[in-house]
Amino acid sequence: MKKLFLTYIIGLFLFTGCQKNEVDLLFDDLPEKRMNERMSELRTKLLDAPNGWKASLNTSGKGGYGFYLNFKPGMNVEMLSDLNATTGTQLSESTYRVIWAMNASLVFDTFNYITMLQEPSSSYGGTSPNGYQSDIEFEYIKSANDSIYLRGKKYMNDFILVKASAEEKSNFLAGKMNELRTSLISFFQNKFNNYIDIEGISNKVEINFNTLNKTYTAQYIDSDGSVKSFFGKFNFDANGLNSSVPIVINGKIFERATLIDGIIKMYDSTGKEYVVKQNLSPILPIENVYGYNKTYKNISTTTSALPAISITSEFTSVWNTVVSNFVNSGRSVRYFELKFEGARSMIFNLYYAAGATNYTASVTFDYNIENGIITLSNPTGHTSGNWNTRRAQIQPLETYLFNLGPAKIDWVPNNDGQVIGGFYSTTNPNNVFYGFLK
Amino acid sequence: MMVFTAAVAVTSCNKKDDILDVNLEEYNYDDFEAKAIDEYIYNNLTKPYNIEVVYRFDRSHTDVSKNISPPDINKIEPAVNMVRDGFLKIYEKVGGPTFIKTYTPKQFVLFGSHAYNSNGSVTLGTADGGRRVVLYDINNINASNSDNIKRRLRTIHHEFTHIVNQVVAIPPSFRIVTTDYVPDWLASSNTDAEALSLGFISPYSRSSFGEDFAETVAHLLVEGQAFYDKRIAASTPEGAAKLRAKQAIVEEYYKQYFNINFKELQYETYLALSQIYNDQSQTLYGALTSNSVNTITLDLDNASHYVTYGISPTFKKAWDDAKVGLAAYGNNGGRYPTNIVMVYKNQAEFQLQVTYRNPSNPTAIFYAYYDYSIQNIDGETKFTFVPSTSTETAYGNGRTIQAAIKPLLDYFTLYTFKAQWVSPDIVGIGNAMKFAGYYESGNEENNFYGPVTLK
Repeated sequence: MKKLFLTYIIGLFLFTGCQKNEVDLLFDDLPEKRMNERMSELRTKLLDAPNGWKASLNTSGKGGYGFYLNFKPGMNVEMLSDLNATTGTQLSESTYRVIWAMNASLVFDTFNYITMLQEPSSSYGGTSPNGYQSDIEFEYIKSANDSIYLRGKKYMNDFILVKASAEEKSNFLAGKMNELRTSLISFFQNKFNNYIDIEGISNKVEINFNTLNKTYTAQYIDSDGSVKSFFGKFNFDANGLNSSVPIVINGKIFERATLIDGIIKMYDSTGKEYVVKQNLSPILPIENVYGYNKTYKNISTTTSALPAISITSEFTSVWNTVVSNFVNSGRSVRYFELKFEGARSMIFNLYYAAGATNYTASVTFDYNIENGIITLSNPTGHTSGNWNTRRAQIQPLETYLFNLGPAKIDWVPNNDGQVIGGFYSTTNPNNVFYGFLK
Repeated sequence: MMVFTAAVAVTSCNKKDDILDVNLEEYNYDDFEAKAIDEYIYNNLTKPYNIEVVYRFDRSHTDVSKNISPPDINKIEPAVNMVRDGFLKIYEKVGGPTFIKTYTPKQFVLFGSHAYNSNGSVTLGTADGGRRVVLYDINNINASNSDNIKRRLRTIHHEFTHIVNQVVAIPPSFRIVTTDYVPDWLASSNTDAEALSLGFISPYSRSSFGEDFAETVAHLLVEGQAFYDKRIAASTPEGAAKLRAKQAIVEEYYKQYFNINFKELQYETYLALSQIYNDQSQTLYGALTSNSVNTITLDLDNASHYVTYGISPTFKKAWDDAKVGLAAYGNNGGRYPTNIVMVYKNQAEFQLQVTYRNPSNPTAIFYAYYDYSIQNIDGETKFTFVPSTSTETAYGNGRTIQAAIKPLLDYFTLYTFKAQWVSPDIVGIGNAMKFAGYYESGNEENNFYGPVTLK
């Protein structure tokens, strides 16, 4: 009996003493096992791209940046970047590590092109003290067969690696990314008022690429008259332009763009292409931006010369006559300005000089805008002293302005991407008073 | 039975410990792979000095709220060399291996970029706990630009001084030399000129007496005594006295507490900078070519240093021949030269002033002046005699006795010289960088030297 009791006790000890072995692991395996699994998964993945990776990294300070990465055994990485001509053409090698810091993490632990974005100074195009507001430590979030999705530790921006094809690799190494970068930059320096047509949207959708900040915007007037605006980021790669933060309009995700034979085409996620076209005048209707208390309040010139436009107008010769009248009187016209003074009144200032002294001749109008038609009235008796003394020279302009009649406010087309607006006479559409919008 | 039970209980519970025993090899959270530079660091800093260099990015070594970049791996070697040659070896030689191995910071952390501060300034380096020194801006290190290296070495010496001060506190006497410390040393009112006039070596010195001490040490070592003396000369009389007092306390501090001759530290720093980094700011050649030398006195018969340290036979012979020649001049009038002074008009010309006497007029001192032009090329110097037509009495005298002292006058033009400070091995550390020597290129036995005054 005593023995039995003891056996029972011993058995109890054995049982309870070892019970802890049987604890169920909440996450399948021991922490160190899971850590190692995850780290070796990332390590193996990084090396498992025979043609390297094309990568895009977003920054908080600016837009997206494109990379070509080749991870090599021995924990070295070669890279190209779309930052500038050198980074786009000269492979640069540095070290990297995969460490555990709350999660498997990829760290670019010595200086390379990607560090130029993280560097705090303004030496590489960022703004001190935080550079481009970017990272060199990335958390491993997930991966697929052909891609790795990482996220910056501090600024939480996406860093997406996609396996490059053999062709892409040779394009990257041949400097194609930089070639496309420079040709896209020069394209946007010479092509203005870019827009695309999207099915289901009746107005043109204005597209504006900022190649300096690597961001792009889209905006259009919706059917209810409101302005819809979208913001995205992009980077260059060996194929063209990649949306690192895509713009999504009506469910269409604009993923990339190409420049082939001088034409830019954008593609949505279904592969549908959108040709980027150019307008001779800005895309948004002028009434959204021009008026009292709006973005543009003045129609003016910067010199005595009118801006170059791609239509003809009677105003051109009227103005040129006035300019030469002043020259003949020993004076010189500097510029003019028609500006809103209030909800009902406008002033036209003619700036001219006699010798070293500058003068202003002015006339004030009442105005009325209805359905985009402006009517100037009541100038008589509202001309300034200088206007009256110089009337001999100003006369053709005075006659012109006083008799313009109801006129439609609209953009004036031009080939230089200038913001030019004007008043189109309703009785004679070939007669338009125009100038730069300021 | 009870024992058995207990034994079973113990052994059965051991198994629990087995399971909880984690295999730490599995806990390797890093996969660092050593590169050639890691071996270089090991051989040059870790093995001899037990110093770790952290150059791979590790956010925990600095302010986590700041963006700070890792260094370019190619810049590590020059940084390691700079720490070794411009800092460790100097203290090792002067203070002894035990001193530097005991007190050197054990960890150098290198970052490629600056660390930006909220007031817009940038930090070049920090030291904490007497263990760690963080150096920033390593990406811009340039071993072929001595100013670039000196700025960094000043930071290292500055930070190391803080560490030394943690071992032995700054003497209270230092605190009371200057009391004009300011809460914000970057304030626009704290100009360099104001700091200097108050007796501070730099504007940063004004932030606290601890920084002041470190700045004084760093400037005395890296910029050198001549720089410090120039600052003293540019200060106010009160400021100058305070700067001198601070240097005296610094020297006494190192002597008394660490048995280190501060003058030796200065000289060894100068040697490292001039020999390794080609820094000409403290070399004699640098002073001569930048028109900083005023005179070199060659008082061969009277100055005691020629008795103690000797005179080169070739120069002595030229001097003796001149004496014989001058004595025979004018019907054996017994004239004799007493002194020679080289007065530098600028880097391209000096005036040789020979003083002589005539027994027939025992109270009078006569001067004979001669002009030489100087050609400094690639560290070597040649002199050319330039006949003077000046009507000044001394030049007239010079023409009168020119033939008589010809061997001496010719001596200067016969050889190509190298201008160098006379080594402290000969003149002692107390006279380091005080005696200017001209050594015949390729035959250093032939030389002349004398005490120098700077402009």
